Amino acid sequence: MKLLVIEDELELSKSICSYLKSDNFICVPSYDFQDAMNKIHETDYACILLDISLPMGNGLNILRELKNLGKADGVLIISAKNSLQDKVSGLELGADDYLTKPFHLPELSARVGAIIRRKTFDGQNRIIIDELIIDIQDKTVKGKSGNIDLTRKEYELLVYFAGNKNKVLTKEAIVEHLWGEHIDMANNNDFIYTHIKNLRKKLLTAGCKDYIKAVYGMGYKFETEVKEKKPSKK
Amino acid sequence: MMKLLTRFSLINLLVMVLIFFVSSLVIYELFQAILIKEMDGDLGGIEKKVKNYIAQYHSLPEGYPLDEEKISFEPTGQQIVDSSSNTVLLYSEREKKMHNFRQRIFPLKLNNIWYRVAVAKPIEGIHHLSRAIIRISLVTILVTILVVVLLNSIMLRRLWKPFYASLGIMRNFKLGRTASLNFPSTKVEEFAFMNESLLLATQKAEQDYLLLKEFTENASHEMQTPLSIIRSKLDVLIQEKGLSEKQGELAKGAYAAIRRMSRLNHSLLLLAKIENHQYAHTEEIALKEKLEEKINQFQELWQSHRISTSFSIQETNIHINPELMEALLNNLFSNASNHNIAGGSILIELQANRLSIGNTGHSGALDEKRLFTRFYKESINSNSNGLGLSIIKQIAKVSSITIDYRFQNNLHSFILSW
Repeated sequence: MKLLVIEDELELSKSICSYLKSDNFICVPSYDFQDAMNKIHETDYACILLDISLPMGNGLNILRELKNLGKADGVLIISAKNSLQDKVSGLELGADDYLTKPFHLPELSARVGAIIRRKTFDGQNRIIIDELIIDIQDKTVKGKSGNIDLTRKEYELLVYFAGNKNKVLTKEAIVEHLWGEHIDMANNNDFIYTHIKNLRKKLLTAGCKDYIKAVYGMGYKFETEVKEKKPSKK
Repeated sequence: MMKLLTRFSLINLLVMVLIFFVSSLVIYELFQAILIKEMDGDLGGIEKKVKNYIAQYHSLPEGYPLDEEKISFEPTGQQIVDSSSNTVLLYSEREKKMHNFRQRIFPLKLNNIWYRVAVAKPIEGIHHLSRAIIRISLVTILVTILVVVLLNSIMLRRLWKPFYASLGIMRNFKLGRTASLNFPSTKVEEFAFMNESLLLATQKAEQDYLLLKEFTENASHEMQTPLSIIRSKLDVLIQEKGLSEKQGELAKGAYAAIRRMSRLNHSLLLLAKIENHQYAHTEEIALKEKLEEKINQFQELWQSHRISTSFSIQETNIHINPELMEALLNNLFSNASNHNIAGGSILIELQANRLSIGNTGHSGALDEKRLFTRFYKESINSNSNGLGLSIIKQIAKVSSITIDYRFQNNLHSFILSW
């Protein structure tokens, strides 16, 4: 699957591509407005990551152009402007999601995954990892031995892990994903341990592999030795 | 403060009274001079008559006791120098008292004897004249004052109407809120010029304001981008195989610093935006729902820190910008959580137009004077950037909320009322 990364900051673009490419994605970087315009005309992308403040052009015009061309590419806006007006106008112009800098790459990866699932497998919005089936539509999880009853937080945690398989995730990134970044509290990263522990226990009980590994004091990793089997999409 | 019209009328009246006073004086003097000249003419006529009489009858004329004129003949040894006219005090037979007379003295020769002849006439008319002038002046002044006051209140008010209209428009002018100002058209050159200047000035201010807004956003953009790069590099770095525990620890420290920096930037930007009135839009918000939602978000954090909570929440509405409401609650809740102690408590009370959030803490009463200043820190707490309370204060200020701090029963409370 092809991703178009429209980001004028070379280093940020490199990081994004380096983090995402291992997930069956081919990243096509684009550093300026005109180049991005050319690229969206040439081919379709599974998802376009769009920085709206570009040199020589407003990223919102790329959205307009996509709309004019009648393209259904998923678009995730990444912007340094955390202003409601920008969010509203971006989403009104057909963007699928909006992420404010500075973001965590796992968060970006999770959102890109969500957009692609929504766009590509209509009605079949599922993540399948070995015997583990996560139904995004119904918010249900099935293991080898049937349904796994998860709390909302555990479910969100699992989906987040699934969007960042085989990646080290910091506790900080996990907390921000689950509780939002406005929750600001001293030593607040340790209480996710309970959720992790419960999720791991429930997955094991349902006959799943022991996917969740702790990485030193830093965070966690969702390890899948066997490659994820994607639903019928070549 | 005095209204321009009042001030103008006052000066106008003063000047007018002065002018009338001076002109009355001048008229009085002028009339007197004319009158005296006339009298002198009369007296000159008498002199001629007397001289004619002597030339005809060669004897001194008899005085007429009924006449107001006085004539006296006084023989002198020789001819007096010349005839002259002056004003003197003489006894008036008619009024039985001393009175001002105009007198003419001239030499006369009869039968070789020189006489000094004095002819005098009472200057009575001048009294009547001055009284009449004063009366006329007074009446004229009163009439003029009346006319001026009336004119001012009607004509001037009408003339200055465009000025007051422009003034009213300027008073309602708010940066970032008003579209282009619409001044009433006027035929008066000065007002048209003023309106044009005001329009230019406000447009310039509006432009500068937009530039400033752009600047704050650009500044934040410039800060967020390098922060994004550092964070993304760390995200990629920790994926490296064979990362040692020590390297992990180092990355963790760097992550924490980026988080602080990012929050600091976010807070400063929020403050700048509030001060630039970029959150002008307000709406009626049901606070109960909003508060309960926020409590749900924080509940788990409090539980994990063994912080006990107690709520008393009633329905009430508040008129505020929704984004600011969100930021206000986030900051109040974070503040109550961050400065709390393990096993402490949080007390939240929502009544009609009043919200109170109390929490236990390490310290005693805080310094109320410095509490809301930026970067105020009661203790060394690396997690707090010292901006939370000044954000709360700023939001309260622009949303017409009064905020009080109280320390009672070991509970730090912030009370918001609106």
